[in-house]
Amino acid sequence: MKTPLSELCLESIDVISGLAPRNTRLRPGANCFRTGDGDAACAPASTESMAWLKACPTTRGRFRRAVGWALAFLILAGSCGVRGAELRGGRLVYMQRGEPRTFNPMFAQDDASHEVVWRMHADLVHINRETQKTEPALAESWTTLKGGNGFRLNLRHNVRFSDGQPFDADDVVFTFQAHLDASVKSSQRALLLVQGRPIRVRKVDPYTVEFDLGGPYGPAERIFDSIAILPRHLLESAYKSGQLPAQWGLGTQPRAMAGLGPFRLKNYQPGEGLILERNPYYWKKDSRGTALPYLNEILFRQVGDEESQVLRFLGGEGDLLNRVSAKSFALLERDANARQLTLRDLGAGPEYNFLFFNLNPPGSAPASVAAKQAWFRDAQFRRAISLSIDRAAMVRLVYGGRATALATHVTPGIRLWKNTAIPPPVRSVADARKLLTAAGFRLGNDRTLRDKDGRAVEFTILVNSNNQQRAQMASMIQQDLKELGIQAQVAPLEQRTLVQRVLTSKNYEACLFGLAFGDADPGSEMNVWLSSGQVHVWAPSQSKPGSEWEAAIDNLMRQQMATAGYAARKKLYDRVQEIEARETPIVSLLSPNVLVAARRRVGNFRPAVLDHYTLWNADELFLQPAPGDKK
Amino acid sequence: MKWRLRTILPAAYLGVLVLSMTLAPVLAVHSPEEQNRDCPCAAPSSHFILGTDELGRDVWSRLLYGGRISLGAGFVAASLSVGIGLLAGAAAGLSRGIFRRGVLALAELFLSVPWLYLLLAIRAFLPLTLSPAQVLFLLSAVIGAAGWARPGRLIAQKAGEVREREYVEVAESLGAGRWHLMRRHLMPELLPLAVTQFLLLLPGYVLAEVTLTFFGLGVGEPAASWGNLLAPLRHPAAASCLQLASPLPLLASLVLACELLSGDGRGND
Amino acid sequence: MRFLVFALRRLAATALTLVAVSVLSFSLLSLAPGDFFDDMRISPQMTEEMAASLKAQYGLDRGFVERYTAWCRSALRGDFGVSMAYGLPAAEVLKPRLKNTLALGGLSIVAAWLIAIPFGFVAAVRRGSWVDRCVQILTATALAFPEILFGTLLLLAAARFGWLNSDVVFLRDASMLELLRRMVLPGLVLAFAAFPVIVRHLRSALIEAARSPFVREARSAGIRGRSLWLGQILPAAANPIITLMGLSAAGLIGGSVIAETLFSWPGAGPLFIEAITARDAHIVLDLALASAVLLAAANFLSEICLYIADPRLRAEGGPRR
Repeated sequence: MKTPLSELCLESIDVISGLAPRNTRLRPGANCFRTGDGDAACAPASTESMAWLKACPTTRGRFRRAVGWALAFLILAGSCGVRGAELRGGRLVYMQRGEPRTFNPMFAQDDASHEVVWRMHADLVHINRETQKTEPALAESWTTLKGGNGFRLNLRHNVRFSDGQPFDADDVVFTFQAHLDASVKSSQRALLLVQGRPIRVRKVDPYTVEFDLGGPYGPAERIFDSIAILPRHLLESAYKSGQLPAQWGLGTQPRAMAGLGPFRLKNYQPGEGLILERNPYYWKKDSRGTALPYLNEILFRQVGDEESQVLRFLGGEGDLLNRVSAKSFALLERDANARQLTLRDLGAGPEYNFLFFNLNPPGSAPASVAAKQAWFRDAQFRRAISLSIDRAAMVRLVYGGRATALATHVTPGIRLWKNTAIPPPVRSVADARKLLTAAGFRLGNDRTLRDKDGRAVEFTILVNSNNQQRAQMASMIQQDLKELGIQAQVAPLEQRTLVQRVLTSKNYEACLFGLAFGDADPGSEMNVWLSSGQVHVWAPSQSKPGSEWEAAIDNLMRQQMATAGYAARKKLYDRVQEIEARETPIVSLLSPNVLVAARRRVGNFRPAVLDHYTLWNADELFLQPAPGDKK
Repeated sequence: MKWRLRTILPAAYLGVLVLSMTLAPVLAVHSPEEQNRDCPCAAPSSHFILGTDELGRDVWSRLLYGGRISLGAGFVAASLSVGIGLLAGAAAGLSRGIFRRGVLALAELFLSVPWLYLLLAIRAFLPLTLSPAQVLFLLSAVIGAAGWARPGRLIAQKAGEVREREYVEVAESLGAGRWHLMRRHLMPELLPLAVTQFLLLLPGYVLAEVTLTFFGLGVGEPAASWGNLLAPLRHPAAASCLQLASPLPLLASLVLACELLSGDGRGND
Repeated sequence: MRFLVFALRRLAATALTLVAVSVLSFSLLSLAPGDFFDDMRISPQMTEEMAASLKAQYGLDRGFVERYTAWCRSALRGDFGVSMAYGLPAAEVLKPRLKNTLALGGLSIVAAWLIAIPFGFVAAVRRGSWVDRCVQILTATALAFPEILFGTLLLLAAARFGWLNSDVVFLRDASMLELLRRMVLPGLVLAFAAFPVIVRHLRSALIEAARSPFVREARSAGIRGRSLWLGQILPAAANPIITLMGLSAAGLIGGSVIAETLFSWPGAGPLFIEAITARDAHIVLDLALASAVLLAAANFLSEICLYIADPRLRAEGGPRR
């Protein structure tokens, strides 16, 4: 039971021990540690961190540690007792909105599959969702190869898969081999290409693997996050016979799968849900040596949609709500105390909503659209539209105040990369009108805006009919544009029709859309911001950049991917944002806050703004038994 | 035709409903699209008769203009359904053998196919310049036309019954042509049934629009249809904006009125 | 002998209908732009080649006719295609779902009929009286209330009073009692939707039958009250009543969408909507076929019942159709 006293004990141990690591068993010489104020400082053993290490007064550290452990032992032996075992047990109930499509981490694309798969597998280096920085996972340490173009990872010893089989470098090599093999068509293959070339993997010894990236790579060891290490003993024969994509589908028996994550599959019933049980061989232990995870089981239950989720949560079902809408949040807030709920508003998340225009090169869009592209291509026109939109009202009315207006697409949630020099968006209809006049548009007596040829400015905004909030935002934009004399029509379309129009037939004029940062690193945005990118929605898959500023962005993005070191990359990315603010290729609107809810009995609930908001630390969650509960 | 209170009242009510929807521009003080962003979900007041919705738009005018769209679309759909059903049913009733079986088989076909796809397909192909209201009318027309099977079968069954009646057989044996049979004998029997079916289908189609909107498959946001007005009610937090439920009493009374009008002893189905 | 001919003819007609249904569904499906993998293309991780190769894997790059004939061929062998969403054979995905839907739908339709019969009878017998008016108002109100709103209110109440909590996780482990308990709420929604229609039809069928000449004769012959209604009028009204039963049964698959979605009952309804929006071609095709088969079977059964129930038909030598 997590009493205040035991918390105090743990805190004091940390403070006293200073440099004592937590949560992991490290080999001597490891370079990952927790500083006194709780921050994890995990850096590759590059020159920077080595200098940092050297700066630490080692003698004092050793003395501190000794005193710390002695005190700790005394205190522990006294009142705290060994409470670790008490935290174990319980079944967490999680309501899912969709159904998983596969249990194979190589092919899991949708949220529902990710939610489940990522509780069952582990990666070599993991990005801590809370700090947004890397930390060791299956690789307990790593060094950069000379030249900075690769890594040598030291794997953990004595780790077993969930079926008891040992883990070693062969599994790592097999995993990466399978991912990089084009015939397997892994959905993560593109992530392992550096400057278009696949990375190379080499086994040095049973617990050491070398990765040659072939060139400088900005995100560095983040490349290893979310690449699940697969069991060679189960999948190699399937891979050799070309059957790998068919493996681990929904019909697979739990016994036929194995992973290195905190849980393993126990039971799956299509349409209803599934149960994950504790992986008895999971390598992580908590600071007191208790094997993680604390939970016995996680039950994933199919619920259907957000309204049912919230209703059931109110009725007592489920322990966590991962993505709460602003309306539901307001509802839950009302008797949060009575219902024993913890509600958290984590601020701006990775998602950004924006309005964009059809900027495809001439000839690719139908004639009716091409006529209007002359307006869309004018940066002053786009900026004028951006100035006229009332983002504050959108935040207030559509999200109940729980959203953040955006000037560029980088949300405050991606705090390490946001260019803070760019001012927040302002609304000024007067300035917008001035810009339009300067661009050659005239407001006629009939209150209609006309271009220099006398054509009335009107266009249609596509929006996803399923997303209520975006539809409301589109209506608000429609009204805002009326003040400029622009007649905008809102056309709600169903998701796939919309994507087909935007990406394939390019038969649209404007579109209100939303994307999200996959990781707190510009590397995850390459496909969106490169002019040749497939998700460069306003002009996808161009063979060469359509304009000077697009070329400039291309160069900057490629440079930051090939630059090592956060400071240098940040400078480059700041310039990308400056160009974006000036040219306004997309009119960024807002980023909805990440809202989560949990019952008070869920312990160690530390939601983060990176996916998965609530279950990222599933191995550390525990349930406090209510009085009279049996475990 | 006895004009009883039971007929007059519902008919008058329907008339009032249709009239007020038609006179929407006069009756609605504010525009249904204008967003008063400072007072979302405002309570009814002297300024806004029924209050405002989540984006600050006047609910009263959205109710009226929405009624135009929803009722109009329901009307179109029901007329097409019953119209085609009447023609098909009468034709099936008059004929025997293959043709009759063919029509009935076609009806079964139309009953089994999932028409939801048609909605998606058509919506995708319509030019984007159409307003949501126009889109709704077109979609309703298509759905109505595709839905001829249900009234069609009932009409065919009744037509078959009438056909078997003695005086019709007598007339036929005396040499009466198909057209004559249709006009003098079948139609007087079938028309009341058709009218009843129309009155029963009309609220059904209006409700279908509401249901489709709930599933995200209806016409979208800016349109002031009744479905869009009611859609936020699905969320448990809706209690703060109950004026959005204003179409419900209108819907209920519509159904009641149609019910009373149809089950009036003129032709009980 | 006559019956055999009739049965064979019906079978042939059904087969034709099934073919027509499948062609129509498939065409409509292909009409809607976009396909299953378009949703994935918007993810920054997905490359164009990956999407193209996935499409090729599932045969989406082939022409309409080719895809349809491929599906037909596999269907005749018993393999009803593959679900792109689940990566499983379509039959495997559909079987448990259809079972659940038929169970839920069947029980609630039976319940709806059981409740509706007394109402319909009372309204018909006491036609014109205040009882009749009450029943009519009741049915009109039930009709006017959108099913989805009723379901939402019920869900709200259920969440409030804890009716949704159950210890059993999966249906297959549930006892019969637990299963029934789980079916009550969605069943209520379904029955609520079906009940007014049944009452209305029943009432009008009985009234119509009561006006027919032979009933008048029976009445003048002195048969009154219960024996009149049950012995003479009810059989005369058999035709429309049994037709309605057939239609009720046939609408099971499509009609349960709302109830199943709201109460998370793992049936075919939510799967249908999902498959349509996701363009999961084979699932939609198979569901449309299942629905058509159900309709044909229900029709067939109701005609048999009619034949047995209505002596006039027997005299004329078989069902009219």
